[in-house]
Amino acid sequence: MLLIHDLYKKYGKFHALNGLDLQVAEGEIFGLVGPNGAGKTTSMKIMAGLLKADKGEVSIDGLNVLTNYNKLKEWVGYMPDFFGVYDNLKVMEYLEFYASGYGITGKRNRDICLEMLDLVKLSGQTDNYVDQLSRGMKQKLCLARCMIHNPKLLILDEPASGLDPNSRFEFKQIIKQLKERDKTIIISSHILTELAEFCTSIGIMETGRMVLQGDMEEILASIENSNPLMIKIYKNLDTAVQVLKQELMVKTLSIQGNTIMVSFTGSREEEALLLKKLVMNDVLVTNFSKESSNLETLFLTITNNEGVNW
Amino acid sequence: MNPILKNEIKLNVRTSKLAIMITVINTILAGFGVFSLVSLVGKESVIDYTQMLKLYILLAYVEFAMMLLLIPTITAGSVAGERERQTLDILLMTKIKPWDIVIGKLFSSLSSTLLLAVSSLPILALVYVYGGLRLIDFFALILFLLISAVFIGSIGILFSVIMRKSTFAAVASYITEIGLILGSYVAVHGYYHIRWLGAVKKPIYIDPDIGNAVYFLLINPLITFFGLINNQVGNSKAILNFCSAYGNFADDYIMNHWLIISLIVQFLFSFLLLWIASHKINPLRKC
Ligand SMILES: Nc1ncnc2c1ncn2[C@@H]1O[C@H](COP(=O)(O)OP(=O)(O)OP(=O)(O)O)[C@@H](O)[C@H]1O
Ligand SMILES: [Mg+2]
Repeated sequence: MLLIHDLYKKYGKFHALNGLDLQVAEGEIFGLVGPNGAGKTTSMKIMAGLLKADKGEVSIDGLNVLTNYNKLKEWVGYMPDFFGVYDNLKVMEYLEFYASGYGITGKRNRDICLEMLDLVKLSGQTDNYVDQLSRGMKQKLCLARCMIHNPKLLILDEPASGLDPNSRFEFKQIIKQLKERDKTIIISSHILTELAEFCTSIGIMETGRMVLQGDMEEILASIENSNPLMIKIYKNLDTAVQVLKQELMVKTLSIQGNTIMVSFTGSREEEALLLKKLVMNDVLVTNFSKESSNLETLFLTITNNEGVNW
Repeated sequence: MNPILKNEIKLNVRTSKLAIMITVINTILAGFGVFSLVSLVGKESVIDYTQMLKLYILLAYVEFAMMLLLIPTITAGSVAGERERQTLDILLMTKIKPWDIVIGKLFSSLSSTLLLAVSSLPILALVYVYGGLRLIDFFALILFLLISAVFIGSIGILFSVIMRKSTFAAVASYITEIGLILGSYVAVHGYYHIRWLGAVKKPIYIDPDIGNAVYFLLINPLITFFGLINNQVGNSKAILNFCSAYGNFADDYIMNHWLIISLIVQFLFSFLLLWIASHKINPLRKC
């Protein structure tokens, strides 16, 4: 569906994108994550054809974005990280204006606008002025706007930022509904855990590069594997340490009180066997677990604990 | 109908700004007209046609001046304002063609000025009622105002597209406008002066003739407007007389068709400026 290869973009001397690669398959919900200034907005603007890259290729369904500008407009719905709003325009008029911008006119225009308002649950607001809406409502209106021409690819730049938990929940519901309509969606966010709930794949960006990209489940599993084993010992700590030191799959080991943290590279089965071995050596174990999968820690380690701002 | 134009008109009608502006300016104009009329008629019981024409000239220039004052600000804010409000990106994502965006912005910016001109027509008609002018003169006046408005407006639109801030765009537009009106005159006059300095040094003084250089004034909307108004009140040789200071143009084709040619020149320039603007607004243009 979307293919980005070796994308570069400079602002003056500053390299915002440094050879970005990205693939998103059809029907996927792709989460683009990265700290402030990673280049998420920049890459999304390039995907939407609003910014020209210095180097590299962007293609949607095999068509190069640069040479198929008009097709691109039909296919792509883009929601920027701000809401452009005209004063003195009512919600319905706002949508009708953009619909007419896509050549949708007459009764069809009105019908589509109403349908979109219904989808984002703003049906009650048709006659209110846009600039009087709350932040969450505006964001929902913007979402409605970028879907007005029924695009197959939605590019949403931090659509849920600044929303309260309720609105976030609503937002997720809407995204799930869109998934059922066979849209391909790219969402950017700072908040990895939030994306984890509905994304099918994610890409983690830093300083204009993709540092990790892949299927959501696989990434979760790989994080799980890289997490340390936490073993709490009730009795015979010394024996336990000796046993662990003999294990080939134990790479490092640290002891805090009666807890041993072990980085262990073996499989699940080998993990279980390790526990058995400890117990057979008369070690009394009260807790034996891998630290639960944590996207945030992954995010932090990958992005060097820098510039993460919730 | 151009969706941008439609939307902007809707917005314009909704704000009271426009209504207030029209009311204020028309009141000033009407006050002006009535006052002059009273003072004209008051002295003698017979209405003097030439006095009436003077009033017409005055009002026409006031409208022209208003246009020169208002249009740069309004047009300069159009696209740059859209950028400041962060709605330009969204607009560019739609299927509205860059040319339509530019044209829509131009005419929506001009609509308020044109409305102003049209709404003040009754005041000008005051002069018409008392004779002195033909109906066609009014249409000619409107046509001239329109073409010059489009010309000045395209300058504002281009700067609005190029520059990030509408204030900068407005400043640039005013400077360009002054350049067109004063600058073109200064350039022609200066060129004549240089030639004259050369001529006085020669043993036999021959009045210099700057020839084709005088056509530079065709882009000067004020000179053309001056020609039109003079033509309407019976002085068809006004521009010729004005230019005679710079050479002998008595049998010159362009000089004799100055008004229409200047309008065409202004129109072509507008087209060019708008064309450039529509290309610059497209983010994926080949640099
Ligand atoms: N118009 C611009 N001129 C100069 N530098 C820019 C411009 N736009 C972005 N940048 C720089 O490029 C880098 C990437 O910006 P971008 O907006 O793509 O980051 P982001 O990942 O979207 O960040 P955020 O999470 O804050 O939205 C930043 O360091 C920013 O300062
Ligand atoms: Mg951003």
